[in-house]
Amino acid sequence: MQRNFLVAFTFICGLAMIASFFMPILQGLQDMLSKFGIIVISFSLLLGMGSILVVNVQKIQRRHADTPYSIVLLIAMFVMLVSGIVFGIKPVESRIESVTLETLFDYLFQTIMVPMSSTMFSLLAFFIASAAYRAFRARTPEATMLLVAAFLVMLGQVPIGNFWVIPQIKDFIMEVINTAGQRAIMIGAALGLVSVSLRILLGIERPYEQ
Amino acid sequence: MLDKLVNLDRRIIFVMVALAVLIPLLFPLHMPIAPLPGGPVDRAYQYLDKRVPEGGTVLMSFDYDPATFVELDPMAVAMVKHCFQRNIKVVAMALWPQGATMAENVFKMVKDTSKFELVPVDRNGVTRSVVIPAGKTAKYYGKDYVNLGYKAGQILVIQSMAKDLQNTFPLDSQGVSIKQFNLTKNIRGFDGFDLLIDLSAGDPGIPIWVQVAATQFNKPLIGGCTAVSAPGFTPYLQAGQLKGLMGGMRGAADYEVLLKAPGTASRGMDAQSIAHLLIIFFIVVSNIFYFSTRRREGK
Repeated sequence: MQRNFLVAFTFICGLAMIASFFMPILQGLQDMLSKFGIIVISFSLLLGMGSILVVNVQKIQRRHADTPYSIVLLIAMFVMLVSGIVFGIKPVESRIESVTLETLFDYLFQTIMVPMSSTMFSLLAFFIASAAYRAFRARTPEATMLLVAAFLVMLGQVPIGNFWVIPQIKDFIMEVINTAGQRAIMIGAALGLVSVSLRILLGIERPYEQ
Repeated sequence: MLDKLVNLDRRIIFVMVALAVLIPLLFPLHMPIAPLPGGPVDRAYQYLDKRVPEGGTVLMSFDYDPATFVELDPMAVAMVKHCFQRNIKVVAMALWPQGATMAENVFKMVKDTSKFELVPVDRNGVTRSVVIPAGKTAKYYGKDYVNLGYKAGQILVIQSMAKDLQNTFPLDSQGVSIKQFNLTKNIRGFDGFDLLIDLSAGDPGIPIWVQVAATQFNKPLIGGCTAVSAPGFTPYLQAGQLKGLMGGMRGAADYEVLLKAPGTASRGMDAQSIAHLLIIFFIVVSNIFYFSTRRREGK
């Protein structure tokens, strides 16, 4: 009974969204379903937090090897949550006219989150250089082509490579060869998405039951 | 010896990369940056410069987080400066939770690095009394720019705000009703915007804006993304679904050059040039060592 209801509900909602794309008369229904979706996704954030909480508390209870990381994660999550909810997101007015002080939430975000995130991302440059040295070998004709293309695009991407016909070759690789490959991938992925969507709408696949 | 070079200690590589980035930042080489005429960045610049009317309104979605701000902040700063120069109003929003704060940072950077003095509002949405320094032009929150903040829902947010901005974003990022602001009180949906700009570091990002805003609602859209994801968006550019595209720090530097307002991206291009050269050097040298080893082993 419950399964039939879920399949029917999914089918009706999916069909309504598809039909509204072609039938303007159903636009109101599409708008309503979109708003429902936004509300459901907003609540899923809470669900995600609950899931993180349960998984990490279980790790701590079982004295898993990652226990220290779980403790740091839970402390960080609650500190950010409390700083946002208790101290607010609006700027605190100071006694000096027309001057605002950062909130605690902003302060933590700007001084911890921003530098740590950008540090993690910047480490990529080091690992790419190391990986390029160790693994980027012209072992096969295909690998050689990839290597030459990477060589030309990397050079054409920066001002130091703006000489001879390097920028034109880089543009040719990016706009002709790359675009052709990207289009093929996109169209293939889109067809796959259509078939998966149909399977879900028809109840052949039911990811919501997992 | 050759084996040692083939299996070079990665710490040596790390130190060389660090120096390749650090030295050009400390001692700039001032390499000339030449944006490609008619290229993706030039098209983005020309669209905002020629096709968006003076006094028009632009929607800018900040779909990135601090991990990628080095690449995306400079293009956001350059575009906001460009908008303010042409008296174009900017409405910021975010599909990423950290995006709203990234937008705030961009407005602060525009204030600190341009002739514009951004005047905020208080907690009731009333404009603060701020002394405008001599030589600076005031841009008022609520009249010239607004930050709508973050909304969960990804593609559904775009679909919903396309026709009903007021109910999709009833409050701005600080909890003030957007009906209080002259800039947003009469905007019903995408019809109220002359151009949409998405600065994206992943999903949700440019693909869903193309699918809904550019394709379904036929709105002009410009994209900005990290260098690593730019090749994936060239089909949208060629199909005309994107009016322009800025990829990574180079894209931002090109925009700064076109705007004649050099910023952090232009300054970073020297470091990026040397780092790219170093990686090319590593690839060439490692292949020479590799083939020398194979020849010695008679393979």
